[in-house]
Amino acid sequence: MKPDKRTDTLADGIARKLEALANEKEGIRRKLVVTAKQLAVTAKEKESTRRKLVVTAKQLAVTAKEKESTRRKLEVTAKQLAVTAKEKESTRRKLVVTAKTLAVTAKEKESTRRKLEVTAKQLAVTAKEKESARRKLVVTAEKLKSLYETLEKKVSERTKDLEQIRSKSEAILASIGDGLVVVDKEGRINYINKSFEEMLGWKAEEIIGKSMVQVVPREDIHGTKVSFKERILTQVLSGEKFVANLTNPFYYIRKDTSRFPTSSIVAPVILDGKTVGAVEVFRDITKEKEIDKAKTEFVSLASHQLRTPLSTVNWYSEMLLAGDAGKVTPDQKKYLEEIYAGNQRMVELVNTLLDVSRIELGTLIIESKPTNIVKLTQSVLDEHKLLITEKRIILTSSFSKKIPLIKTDPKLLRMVIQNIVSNAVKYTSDGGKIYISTVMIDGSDILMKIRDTGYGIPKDQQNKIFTKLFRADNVIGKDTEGTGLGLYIARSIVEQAGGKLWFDSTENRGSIFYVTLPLHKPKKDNDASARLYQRSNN
Amino acid sequence: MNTPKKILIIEDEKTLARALELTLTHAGFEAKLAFNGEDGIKLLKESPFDLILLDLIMPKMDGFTVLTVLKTEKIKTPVLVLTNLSQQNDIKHAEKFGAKEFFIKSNTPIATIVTRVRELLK
Repeated sequence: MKPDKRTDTLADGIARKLEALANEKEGIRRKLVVTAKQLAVTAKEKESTRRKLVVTAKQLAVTAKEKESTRRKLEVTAKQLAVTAKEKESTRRKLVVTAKTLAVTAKEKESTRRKLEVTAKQLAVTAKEKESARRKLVVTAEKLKSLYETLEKKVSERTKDLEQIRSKSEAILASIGDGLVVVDKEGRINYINKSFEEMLGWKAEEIIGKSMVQVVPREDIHGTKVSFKERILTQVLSGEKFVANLTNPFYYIRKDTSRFPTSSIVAPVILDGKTVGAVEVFRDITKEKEIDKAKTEFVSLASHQLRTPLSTVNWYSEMLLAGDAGKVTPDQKKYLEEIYAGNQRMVELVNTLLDVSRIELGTLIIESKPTNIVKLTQSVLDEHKLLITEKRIILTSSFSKKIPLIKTDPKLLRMVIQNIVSNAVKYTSDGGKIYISTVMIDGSDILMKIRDTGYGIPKDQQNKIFTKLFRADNVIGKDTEGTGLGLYIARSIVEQAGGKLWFDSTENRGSIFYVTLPLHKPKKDNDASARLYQRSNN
Repeated sequence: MNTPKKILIIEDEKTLARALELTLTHAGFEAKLAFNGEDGIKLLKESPFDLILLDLIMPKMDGFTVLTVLKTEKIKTPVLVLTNLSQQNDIKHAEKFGAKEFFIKSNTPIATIVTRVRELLK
């Protein structure tokens, strides 16, 4: 193939143009086909539209009919509306009236509202007050609550304290070394402590509620059972306070019938001024008695020993005074007389001490015989005549003629009268008065009264006057001779004889001493006191 | 002149015995001393006495024993007891044993004793 290159290129161009024309023709043809197809579609669409229009026409015909029906309905409605309008008018009128009424009501409402407003405001204020009050109440309530709690706590603490105190008191009572018994006003045992149980052998449960006097018998120093009436407890419950006299010890009888010497103090329990019971505290004094006995024995021994030197002084001064050793000058005589007198006082003191120890040891022997108390008194007065005259004391005496002889120990009775009379003389200042009388009372007792206008006994010391070695303050300076034993001895003797010795006294006015002696002593028991010691030694 | 009456003083307290001796001699009696019961009995056995002044509490032999011995020995010499015991029991006891009288020395002036002796030996 290599003819001419230009020819070839031309031919090629013509070919290519022919090919392009062919292609163009094919394109147009294809376009025509498409257009034909499109035209066919459009025809179909026109047909569909025409059909739709037919339908629409038909629909319109239907709609016209509906419109007619609607118009008719509307006509009915219009008529109805006309009626409604009338009703509306009436309603409107009514509404106008109502409106007017409402206007009035509105005014009233306004006024009410205002009132309400005021009220509301007031209520608001009240509410505030109430709120404040409420708050206060709340605070108060809280305070009260706290106070209540505190109180409750205090009460419970106090109760606990009281409980403690009570059990403490009970423990104390229980452990007191002395016997303790509490009785009600009928004398029934309410409480006893441990010492009571130990001393008397009774257990609390055995005797609570029973009569103390019956459960625990008492005997006096003579071994005689003390009667119900004479029991201290009975006397205290009847209203009189009484402290057992230690010089008159007694015995308590144990459950096992053995006994022990006792001293006790009984006091009434007084509530609102009424005796509701009594409390008794008692002690076993066996030991004390032994010590006391030893002491008394010592005094007795010492006194006897003192008598020898006293006798020596007595006798030798006597001999000197008698001139046995040559003549004495008046001065020497005076001095010797002082020695002798001083020694005599010592002798008297020793004698008194021995009397006391005899009384206490129970070795005092009583020799009773019919005794004329009036004569005895007169002889005692005679002994004091010198001193009475010296002190210019006016002595008056009166003795009833009816006084019989009484069976008693004249020496001891003399000691009693001697003691009281010598006190009256000693403690009455110069120019004073002493009055003595003896009368019978109730036909069963002799009553002797010795009254003086002397110094008297100070009130605060009156209860000690019968105590051994006691001397009242107001006479110690005035008289150095007293021993403080006289009245102790006198009372012991009188009581031994079944009588009583007591006194009334006012300081600086004088004293009256009373002695009663029974004509017949209920029971004579010479060895009673001696037995007392034998027993306590057992 | 009468021979003086013989008095035996049985007393252990020498000063008291001497006082009695002096006073009784002064009063015209013949007094002899014994300082205990035993010596007293010895003297009594040696020669008779008109009166005995007897103490009760003494060493060796006390007054009560002396009284008993006097009784058994049938010595009838009157006895005045001079003592400082003042228990009534002692007094009774002494009297039962034959003592004629009983004096408490400290309570009795020596003159009283002399008077009683004189009366008894009249």
